[in-house]
Amino acid sequence: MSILFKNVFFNYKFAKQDIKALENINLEFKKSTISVILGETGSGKSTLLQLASALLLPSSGSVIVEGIDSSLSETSRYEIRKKVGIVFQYPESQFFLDTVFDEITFAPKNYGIKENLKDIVLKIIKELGIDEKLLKESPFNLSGGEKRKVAIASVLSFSPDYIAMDEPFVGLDKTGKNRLVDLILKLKDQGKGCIIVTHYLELLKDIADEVFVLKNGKLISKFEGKIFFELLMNLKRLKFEMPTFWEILEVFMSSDNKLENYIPPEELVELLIDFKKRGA
Amino acid sequence: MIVLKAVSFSYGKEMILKDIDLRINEGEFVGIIGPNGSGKTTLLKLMNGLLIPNAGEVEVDGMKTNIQEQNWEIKKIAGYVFQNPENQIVGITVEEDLVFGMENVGLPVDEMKRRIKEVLQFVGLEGFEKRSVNSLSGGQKQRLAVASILAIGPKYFLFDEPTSMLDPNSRKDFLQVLKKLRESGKTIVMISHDLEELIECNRLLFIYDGRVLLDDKPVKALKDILENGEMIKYVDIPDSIRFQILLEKYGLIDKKDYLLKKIELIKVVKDLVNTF
Ligand SMILES: Nc1ncnc2c1ncn2[C@@H]1O[C@H](COP(=O)(O)OP(=O)(O)OP(=O)(O)O)[C@@H](O)[C@H]1O
Ligand SMILES: Nc1ncnc2c1ncn2[C@@H]1O[C@H](COP(=O)(O)OP(=O)(O)OP(=O)(O)O)[C@@H](O)[C@H]1O
Ligand SMILES: [Mg+2]
Ligand SMILES: [Mg+2]
Repeated sequence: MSILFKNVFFNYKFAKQDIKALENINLEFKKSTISVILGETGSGKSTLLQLASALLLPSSGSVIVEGIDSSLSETSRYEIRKKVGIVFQYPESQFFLDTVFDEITFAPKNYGIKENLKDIVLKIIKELGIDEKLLKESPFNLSGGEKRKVAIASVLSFSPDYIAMDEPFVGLDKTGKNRLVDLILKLKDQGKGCIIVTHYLELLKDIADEVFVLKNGKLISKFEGKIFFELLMNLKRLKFEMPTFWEILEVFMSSDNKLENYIPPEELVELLIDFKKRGA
Repeated sequence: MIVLKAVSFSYGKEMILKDIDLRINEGEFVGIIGPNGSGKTTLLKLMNGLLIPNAGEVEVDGMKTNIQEQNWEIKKIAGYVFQNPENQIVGITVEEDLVFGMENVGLPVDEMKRRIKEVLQFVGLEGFEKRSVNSLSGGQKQRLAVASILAIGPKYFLFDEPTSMLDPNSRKDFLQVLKKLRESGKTIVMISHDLEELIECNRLLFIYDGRVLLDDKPVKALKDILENGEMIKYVDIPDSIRFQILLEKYGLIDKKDYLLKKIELIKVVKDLVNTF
């Protein structure tokens, strides 16, 4: 079972403007997998996530989630939305309730989840590092990073099979980012499908099982993310501006030292000290 | 000059900023980092009078933010780019949004036209004049938010994570925009969780629980953070910067009092390898 895109086209109809956002997309997102979507501004990433969660319907072609076609009926779309949770790019677009607690518990209540709501909330805020005293605040009166975490919590709370996150790392400090990485890895282990749009290439080495690259609404590349050197070479080929340290590692990878995996700066410095000794 | 004198601020309950004294000099580029919820955005909004302190004073070029007429004048010379561009954008179309800000500072029509073209090109949104703002992608909105402040052309730029939604290549282009602003003598205060963007700043401030814990040259500040068990929890020091600090520490390169730019660091490493 999976989320399947078959010949999907999508145009936004806006006043008299018809804006082409996606063109002939064919792909599959699987469970127990972390799929990362990359692409420049306006390439169609957010549109793709909204199609996967049946918030938008294809202009032509079909999106099929666990065998259910989103174009079929309102009932099918309800079923899909229960299976695919989406965290929006700007958290505020997701908020509509008076308190953080209500916001996080809305979906589980709505979908008739039986567990104790308070327990669900306490567990999630602990994992994401949301301060308990924020629960009674308005979600609109939080700092940027706090809003992002609450937006993520409001989706994880109903435990969907697939979690689509649009730029979930943006605005998080180091602890927040690390926690989220751990959480995403845990969700994968629990069998969830994670679909993540991000601009942070550094994080790919930690999370990406596979990488999809969009450009001007087209899927231009798909590759595995697990072997660092391949990841690096693919991104380079696609002309991404690389993290500085990756370019430094590449110097060693392409010389005869046959470095294949990512190593942190501490290890690279040791290696250099070693070279120096042998050279001298 | 922007001066904060014994500034404290609260949104109603607890104190968010606590007794802050700070001075931003003309022509400086000041970077701000710190944990989520520590008060960075609040601090920036105080600098152009979007928020008024509960205690203490904020002065911009001698004018006080808590005096209404002066507050208006301050907003004209100090432009704040919101963390969430959706909170900043007011127009229906891209063009209208740009015009709105420029009308407020009373620019003539011809000059507005010229600037619209110029700033949209600057941020890579050429041809988007007539686009509805609601039809923009997340990153396009952020570019518009930056463009509308560029169009006003204030003396002080207050950027709140302005590249957070940009792809790596666009982020690099934004650094060029920053460079141009600096060359034309503008003052920049910028919050970011991405330290590579702040490499060239004159001062790096670390905000923690409503206080300025560090205010130093970036190399110095980062070395302090690396050695501090609490601060390092919140600051993602990029591999490249840690690498430079380590190379210096183990005597593989000479000690520097500045951080190397990307091309410089790569060159240093290549040279190093060649000497072995
Ligand atoms: N609501 C909308 N109405 C009309 N056009 C839209 C709408 N949302 C997005 N678009 C357009 O569709 C295209 C794809 O947008 P999308 O938001 O999917 O891009 P994205 O890859 O998420 O970009 P970003 O990285 O900037 O968030 C862009 O050209 C955009 O301008
Ligand atoms: N409008 C508001 N009303 C009430 N409290 C607020 C409001 N905005 C922010 N706060 C609170 O003030 C504190 C500081 O928020 P601020 O937005 O300045 O943090 P920040 O350092 O910018 O964080 P981030 O990195 O997450 O953007 C936080 O605890 C936040 O919850
Ligand atoms: Mg988007
Ligand atoms: Mg903030």
